[in-house]
Amino acid sequence: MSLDQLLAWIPPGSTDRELACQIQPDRLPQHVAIIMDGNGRWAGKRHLPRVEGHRAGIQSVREVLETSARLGLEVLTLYAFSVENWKRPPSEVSTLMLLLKRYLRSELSTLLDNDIRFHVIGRLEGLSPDIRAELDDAARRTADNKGLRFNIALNYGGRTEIVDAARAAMASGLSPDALDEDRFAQFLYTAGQPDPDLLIRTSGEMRVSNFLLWQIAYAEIYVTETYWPDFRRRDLLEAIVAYQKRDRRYGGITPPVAAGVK
Amino acid sequence: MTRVLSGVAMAGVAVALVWFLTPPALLAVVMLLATLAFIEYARIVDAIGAKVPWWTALVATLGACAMVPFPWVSVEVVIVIGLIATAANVLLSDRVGAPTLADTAAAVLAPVYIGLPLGALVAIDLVAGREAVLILMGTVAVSDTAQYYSGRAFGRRPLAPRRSPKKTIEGAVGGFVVAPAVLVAAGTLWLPGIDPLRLGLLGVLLVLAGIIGDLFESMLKRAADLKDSSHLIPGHGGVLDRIDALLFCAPIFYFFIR
Repeated sequence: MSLDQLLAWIPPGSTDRELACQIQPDRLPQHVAIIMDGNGRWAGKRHLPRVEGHRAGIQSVREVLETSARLGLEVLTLYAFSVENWKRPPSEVSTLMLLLKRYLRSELSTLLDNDIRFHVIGRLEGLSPDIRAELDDAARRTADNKGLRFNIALNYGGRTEIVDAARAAMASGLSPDALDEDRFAQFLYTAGQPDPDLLIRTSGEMRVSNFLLWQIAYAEIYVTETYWPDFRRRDLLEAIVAYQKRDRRYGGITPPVAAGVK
Repeated sequence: MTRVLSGVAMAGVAVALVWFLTPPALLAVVMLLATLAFIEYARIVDAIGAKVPWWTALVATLGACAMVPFPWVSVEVVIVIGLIATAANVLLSDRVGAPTLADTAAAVLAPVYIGLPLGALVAIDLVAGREAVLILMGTVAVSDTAQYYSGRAFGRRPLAPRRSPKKTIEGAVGGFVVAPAVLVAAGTLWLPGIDPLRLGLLGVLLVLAGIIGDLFESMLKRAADLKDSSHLIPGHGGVLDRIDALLFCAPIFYFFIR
């Protein structure tokens, strides 16, 4: 997939198309990670139940996923459910899980059609067996796809991930001297994937919220006021355009590296 | 002719509402439906000789309905508070003897019989999508129709002569043959991820539940010596007459797709 594919999908003359034309195809972020925040507030503003916000958020997932695939991103990671989210009312959690199940069932064909590889990151053993079966099924059936890698973070915590990786490293019998950053990254849930270049957070919160703590070391952070259910193709394109205007220094001073240049 | 026309009009309106409304908006419509069904139910109960504490039972019914899809508080809480409020109402009334139990029981039945199932309908819309609601309603309608026509064509032996003289075993068989097949076909197309065998089993359960729901409502009407629950829908009687099978089918469908 490429920018041409994206442009073919956007009607000429629209503002989305103008935005898409500003994107430099050779400087795309390889990996975009998104903290999908604001479903509850979106619903609250409309005097609707919180779960209605989650339901509305599915449309955003659909649009962001398809835009990412067409744009030619390598990896998209969405933060769906954290290890801390179990503190929410049980009824909200169970509805979220039901929505997830429905999403997986209804979107599998979209994943297959768009050549998307589906992957779950997080402590899967904490999820109910039926949800795990659905997740495994979706991952297995899309395993041979070659396009966008779509990670969904479920029962995920950044610190939990690092602890899990440390345990795995110790269990593998690796000697302390042999462990370095690259080696350690191989034990993370995201082993073999590039680190996020761009971290997007919706609904205006200035927090990382225990998301991909190791991997976002040098990620550019982009925060938008938009609530997740209102987040559309345009918002993703805006974030990428903003990203491409930044200089990434990786701790150095000169010369600055323009974002996206590998 | 009136019956066919109003049937088609009702089906069209129902499909449009399910298709275009979001779950909260659909809940508003369904709560209106629950209110109408409750009014008819209260009239049946009244004709039988019991009395439901009207407002208490109505609020409990609507509360139970809303809490299934959107549990601000859990449904159990609604039922328990409804029971206590009902008991208080009956205690304060001037009724004595057997009618006191009849009044209490009839009041508690309203949220269970009308509230929960209609709430389940919205919950299906929320967690499984509008296609699922339409498939449920379609399966119930197909089951009804298949029973009616195969009963008319082949009906010999009555199914439940004491409850309903018109229902026949042959009619029921027609329902059991056609409706699960339709559910399997529609479900394979629009409910991805559920295997056909499970859909077939669900279809059989829905036909069974639908027949029980239909007979149950007839039994109540017969006990009250009423022919229709009301005359709201030309040629079809009342709301309760229309949704009697759905009331028993919706919760089963909801448990199945969760």
